[in-house]
Amino acid sequence: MNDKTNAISVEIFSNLFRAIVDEMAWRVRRAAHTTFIRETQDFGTALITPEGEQFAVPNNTGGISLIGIPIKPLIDAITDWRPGDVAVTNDPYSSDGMVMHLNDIFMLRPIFVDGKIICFAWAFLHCSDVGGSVPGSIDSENKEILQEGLRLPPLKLYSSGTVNESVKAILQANCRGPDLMWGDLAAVVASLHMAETRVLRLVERYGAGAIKSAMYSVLDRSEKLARLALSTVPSGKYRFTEYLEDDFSTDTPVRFCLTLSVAPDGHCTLDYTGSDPEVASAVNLPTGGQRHHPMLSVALMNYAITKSADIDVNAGIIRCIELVLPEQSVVNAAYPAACGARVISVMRLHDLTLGALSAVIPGNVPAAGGSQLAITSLSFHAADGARRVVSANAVVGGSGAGCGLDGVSGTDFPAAALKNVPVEVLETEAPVRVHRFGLRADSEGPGKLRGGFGIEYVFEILQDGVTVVSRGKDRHKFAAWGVAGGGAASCAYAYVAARDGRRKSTGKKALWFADQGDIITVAGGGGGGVGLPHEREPGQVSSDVLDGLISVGRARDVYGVVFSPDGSLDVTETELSRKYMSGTRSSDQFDWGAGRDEWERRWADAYDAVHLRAIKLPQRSRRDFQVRAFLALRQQHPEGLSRAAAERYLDELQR
Amino acid sequence: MRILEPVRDVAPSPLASCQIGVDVGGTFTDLVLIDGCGAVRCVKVPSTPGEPALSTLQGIDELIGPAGARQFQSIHHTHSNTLALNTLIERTGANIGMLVTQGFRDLMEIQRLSIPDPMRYSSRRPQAVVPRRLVREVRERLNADGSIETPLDASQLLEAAAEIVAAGAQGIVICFLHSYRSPVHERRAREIIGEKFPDLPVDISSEVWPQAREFERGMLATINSYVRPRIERYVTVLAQGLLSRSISSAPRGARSNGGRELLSSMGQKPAVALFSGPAAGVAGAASVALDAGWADADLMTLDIGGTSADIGVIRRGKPILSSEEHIADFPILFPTVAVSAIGAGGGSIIWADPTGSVKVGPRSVGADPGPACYGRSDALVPALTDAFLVVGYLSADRKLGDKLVMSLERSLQAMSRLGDRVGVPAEGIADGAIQIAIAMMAAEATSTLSRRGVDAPEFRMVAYGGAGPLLGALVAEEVFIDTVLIPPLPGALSAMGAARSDIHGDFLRPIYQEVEIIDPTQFASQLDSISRDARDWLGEEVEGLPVTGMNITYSLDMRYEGQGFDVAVDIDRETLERFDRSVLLKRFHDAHQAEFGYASESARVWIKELRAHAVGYLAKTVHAHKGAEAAQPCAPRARTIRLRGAAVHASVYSRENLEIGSRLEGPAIIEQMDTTTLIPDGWICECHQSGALVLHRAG
Repeated sequence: MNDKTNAISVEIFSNLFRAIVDEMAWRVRRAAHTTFIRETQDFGTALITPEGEQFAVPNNTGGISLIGIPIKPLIDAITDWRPGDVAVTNDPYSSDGMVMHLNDIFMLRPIFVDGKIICFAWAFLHCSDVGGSVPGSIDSENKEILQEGLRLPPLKLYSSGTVNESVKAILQANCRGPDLMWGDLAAVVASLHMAETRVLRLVERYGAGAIKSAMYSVLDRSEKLARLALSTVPSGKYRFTEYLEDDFSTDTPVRFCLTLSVAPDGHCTLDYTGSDPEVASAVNLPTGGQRHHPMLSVALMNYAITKSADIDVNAGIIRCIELVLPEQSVVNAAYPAACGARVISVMRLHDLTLGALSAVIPGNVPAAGGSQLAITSLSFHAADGARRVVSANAVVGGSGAGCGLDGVSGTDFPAAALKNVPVEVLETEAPVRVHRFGLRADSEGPGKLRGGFGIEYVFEILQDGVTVVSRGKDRHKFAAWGVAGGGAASCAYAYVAARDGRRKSTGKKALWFADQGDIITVAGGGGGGVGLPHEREPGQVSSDVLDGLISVGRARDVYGVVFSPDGSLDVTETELSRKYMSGTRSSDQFDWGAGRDEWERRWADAYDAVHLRAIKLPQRSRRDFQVRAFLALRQQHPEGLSRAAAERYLDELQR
Repeated sequence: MRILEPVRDVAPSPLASCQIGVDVGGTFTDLVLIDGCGAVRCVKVPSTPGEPALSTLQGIDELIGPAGARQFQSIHHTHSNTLALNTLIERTGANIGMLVTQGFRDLMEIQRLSIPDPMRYSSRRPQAVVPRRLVREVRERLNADGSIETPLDASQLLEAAAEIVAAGAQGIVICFLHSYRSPVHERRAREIIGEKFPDLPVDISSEVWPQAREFERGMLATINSYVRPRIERYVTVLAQGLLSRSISSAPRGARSNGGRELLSSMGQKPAVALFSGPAAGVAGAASVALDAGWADADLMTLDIGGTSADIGVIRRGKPILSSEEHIADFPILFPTVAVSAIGAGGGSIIWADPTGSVKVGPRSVGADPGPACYGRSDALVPALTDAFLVVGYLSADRKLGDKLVMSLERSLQAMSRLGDRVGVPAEGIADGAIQIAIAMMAAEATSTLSRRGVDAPEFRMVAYGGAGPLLGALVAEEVFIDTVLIPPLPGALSAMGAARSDIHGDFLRPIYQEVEIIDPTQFASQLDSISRDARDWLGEEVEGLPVTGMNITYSLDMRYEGQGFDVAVDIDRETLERFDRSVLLKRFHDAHQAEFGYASESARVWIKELRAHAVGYLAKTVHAHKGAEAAQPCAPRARTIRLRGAAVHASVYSRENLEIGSRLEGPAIIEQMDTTTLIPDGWICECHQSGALVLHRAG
């Protein structure tokens, strides 16, 4: 193989490497004990260069969220690597943001050839519980990471092949379900060992030199393809702002700002300057200020992968995606900010980047997703008296339209690997009856291409004393926006009603202590549309009407498609109505939806004024100031106010 | 037609009875006939997609010749085909409607919520087979234990059914929640609809496969209803044709579990045959391994066709079955021979990505225009077959099949065009593309073994399909396999597998209860009912076939409470009848210990399902081959081939001239009509008396 030109050998080694990581992943998945690993596949395996880049990632099993994450912090943290070592950590704040919340346990094993490390085998798994204030360890209202469970700074779980019993004992003493957790870790350790024997076999067959150079060639190839794909975006600077409509402990929004710079060679910079200070809830992103990080680059990675059909997904892709992360901000949180529920921020950052891209290549990426990630679980006393927790679906929302297609209904790209729990399985395992799990008609963002439909999940509790947890709700006020004349979608909603229909609670409350007969509704919004709705093919509108997903009234009012009383398409009336509609709406603007429109009209300037003052304050008091000052502003001026008025008011307040 | 003669032409008479296996593919239909003493005839005819049974009939005519059906006492025939699968993939099935429980109209739209490729903005769920406009909700509800929560509203049901019939539905599928626990509502609904619409086919999910998971179960029922008209058409046309040829035996179909079943009963649930072609191939591989004396062997099967390489696993002589397969992106709960495919076959396109890196597949040139060497297109798109020609594995002097002549010149031109772009000579591209394909197959093979959780001390390989015998040994080297078997008719192994298949049926009863609270009487009645079903089915299926034995085995799917997956525990009927909880529990704990290395003896244990597997074993005529008449093989020709990047001199043999027991050393090439076998250097080939070639790695 040594005489092979690169043109041939890259693809050969890419396959041989993939065989190793696939085998690792299947071993973990088959041997793992917890539902999380087996069903939701929240785990990953990879081979890592000595510099910490993931050069081989499985392509048919395992999670996708951490593909490309730099492993250098863990490599550097261990100063005396020896054969047979396995290092472990789950702590964002001692791994420079390599790990992003405590439930993710990272493990790393060096592979030595002739006394030198040729590469590393790596794996992570989402541990169902690592201790902390609530079962499952994640509570969006946590304020400090110390509430979120056991922190394990980088250390050796195995030294030269021998397990470190002290670490094992501490781990097991600090989580709910210690045996299951250790079973999962054991499966990972076995897969790391297996990877070592496979890599050594390759070295024996092809030589260390060939393997070493192939690792980098595989990364280089993906980098080149990603650059080519990203260079299809016209170079320039594009700005966008996106919000979490509240921060899960107060009703003050969290603002994310982005300046996307694209260079002619496809190099992209994502500058998050202007994003809010870290918040007093668990949605912070502890990224350690890394220059490359997949979780803050999701949309650009997906864009490159979509454009490059045959690209190997590995860390090469994010080499050309550079981050600028303001310190002690929500996108670069510092100890001790809580971060357990960071996934909802990742979803909004996905929309944020799509927005910046839509400013220049509208329709070539999806419009905003209606997505939240309302992970719902039920905790109850089973017949044997034991407390049991059962996962009861994640409620997401529709994706935006784009890339020549209508949006995906019911789920959105950042969450689209998640499967639902079959009703028949759920009702066998928990005291619950599901009334509906279905699409919401008329909830889509309209457009020439329409967004995906939202989803509604309705279930009834069948015994007293059931705790329903449904965290990570968003887009209840700020809908998924539409692009290029496409419309914003419907919002999400949630409420609890007693059996007689009387509403007992509404809104985004994460925790509900339910009684028998309580009926809980959790709904996700639609995705945004692309292009003018009255330019949508009448046949497509008519198809959605036939399917009962768009009402006759909406077809007429929004799409300008008119039906005769007998249900057939009225071509003449449709043409007339569309003629009247054309010109009423511009095809080059975003539609933000009523909630965000109103908020921005009243508060955007004032909010910015507060933000600019807040970031000048010391770390711990920034968000506190921001929330208090903004609340005071809103109370004084419920109708909103100008920047100048806000500045005057803040001057007074700060005096 | 090719005829392989048996060694023994003693009793039983060759004319006593025969088995015909048919594999209807998209382009060609393969047929194999095995007579009473094991002689094999084989033909290949062009498929007739418009009326697929016609090519089958034509093939049967060619097989039995002018002497006709009278020469045999009986003719048994088993048909594997891609009809059901293609109907599903091309969405050309019947217009069907669906009735579901109130609140779940979007069952088929939402599926399991996820999309196939979440990192690609162009990824979407597969298009639903039943459009939402033909789905109606019905007022009815069962509880999770099968008891009635809301009684079935008969008048509303009829209204809903009438609506979808008016909207054009030619059949109705009913999938109600928890019907796997109690079919009462689904059955009643079918009755009610039957009274009003007596000619309307109605499928109910609880009868197809009573397993929990509403989408997957409903999907199976839907596929049945959707593809059935196409299967029925095949059976009707076939039956008429057979009648006029005086062949009166009932046709049987190959199933995705590797077994056969009467087409008349398969018509009830054609989804069991979705994967029959590949499954019959793997079953055929198991049977040729048995011929070669490999009893209870652990095998990897490698079937390289025109568009893909399919990899299966045989453990202790039996194909591995899985209930988690996806076909055309839809989940299939029926036990199915587990085959993984990767897009690398003879027609796979060789191309270069924008970085100048050479790639193989997954796109294919297809049968038309085919590889550049066919000369049918001036586009000169190189495929793997062109690479085989350029490196000398295939010879342009030989015809491909009966008619086609291959042009080396065209292959070289196509390869050079690509080579010029990436700075590699034509030979380098060809050799490199082959090595890439081998790496792809090796990677998929490794992944498959770990995915199936198979851990055997040693695997051997059976390589078949058009290009399997060419690449088998080279792929084997990459996955550390030292022995490769090439069947006598590598291009017709699915037809062979169908001809030699046993009878396999699968049955399932839901239990879904914690062991301690299961009522032994109820369990006993489930056990009775499943064994009665299995026995009755087997009784019908063996009718008229030369069966040597029958067997029904049982297993329980069990799990710890709260665990996310089941462990299948084989348990004999007597133990199940006694229903001694401590014995059942111990069996589960032991099985869990063996598979996962621990058991939680204090935890509660659930039984999810009771399964039965019914087998009828058919008499096996051990196929034998007497080889060439000539005492010495003709002196081999020789040609230069490129192997692993170097030019080597390879001897070239004709397979029909090889004598049983002869040994050939690599590098060598063995040519036969439908395929070419490559013996790399370092390998030795033995011509086994079963007619197979057995390749061993030396040393």
